[in-house]
Amino acid sequence: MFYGIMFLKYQERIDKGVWHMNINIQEKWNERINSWNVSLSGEIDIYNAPELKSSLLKLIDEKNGNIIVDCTNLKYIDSTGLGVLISALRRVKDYNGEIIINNLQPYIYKIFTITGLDKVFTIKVQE
Amino acid sequence: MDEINLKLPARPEYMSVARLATAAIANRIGFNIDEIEDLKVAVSEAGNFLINRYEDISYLTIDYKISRNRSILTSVKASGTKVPKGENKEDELSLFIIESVTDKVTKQTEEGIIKGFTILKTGGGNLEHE
Repeated sequence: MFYGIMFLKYQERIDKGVWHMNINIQEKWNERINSWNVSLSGEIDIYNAPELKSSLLKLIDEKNGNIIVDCTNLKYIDSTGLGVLISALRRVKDYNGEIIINNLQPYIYKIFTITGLDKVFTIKVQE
Repeated sequence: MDEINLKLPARPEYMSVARLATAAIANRIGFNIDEIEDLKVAVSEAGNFLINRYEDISYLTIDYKISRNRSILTSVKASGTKVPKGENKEDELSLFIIESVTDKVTKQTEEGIIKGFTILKTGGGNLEHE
């Protein structure tokens, strides 16, 4: 019974989004605000950044909306992850959209500030 | 001075191992959370730089020298760096991040080729002044 529930939860997580060893990407279209809600958890690094890139570009191709990224459970992002966000932003800017990054951990926000990306993205930091 | 040596396959999937080891070592000598994050980021970016830059790296060697004054001198070095992949957009970003979060960073170069980085990070203030 216990393992059955665990399996269902595992399957549910796989069905809802792309789930890798150390990153989980969940996405949902919000018609009312013409935006993609994307939730990132885990670590984005040189290993899984290509997966994030293909996920974001697929969303942009599917519907040209803003992208609202929830980073409540994001633990780490490196320069390759930042590169992915920059290339997604370029595509979004083509149709005058924007990428909004919400609930960023303060120590991850530091990476955005030292690279000047805090002025490129709209960012809200966790209290 | 204590020394720790780590040798990892130079593949993206092993960078999380480098971060985990770095965080554990920095935590061991009393770095605070921000200092641990800084060193973790710097070592990871140094590895990223080398993996992104060259085709022919087999291993990354990460050597930590831990001083009594709560500083860690970390060398991140690549084995084999003869076949460059060409400039990568994220290279400059990596270098900029490493320089911003550490006390001092030196490029290890041979004949103009960057073979690795030596990174100094001191945590929790200098004990000599306590």
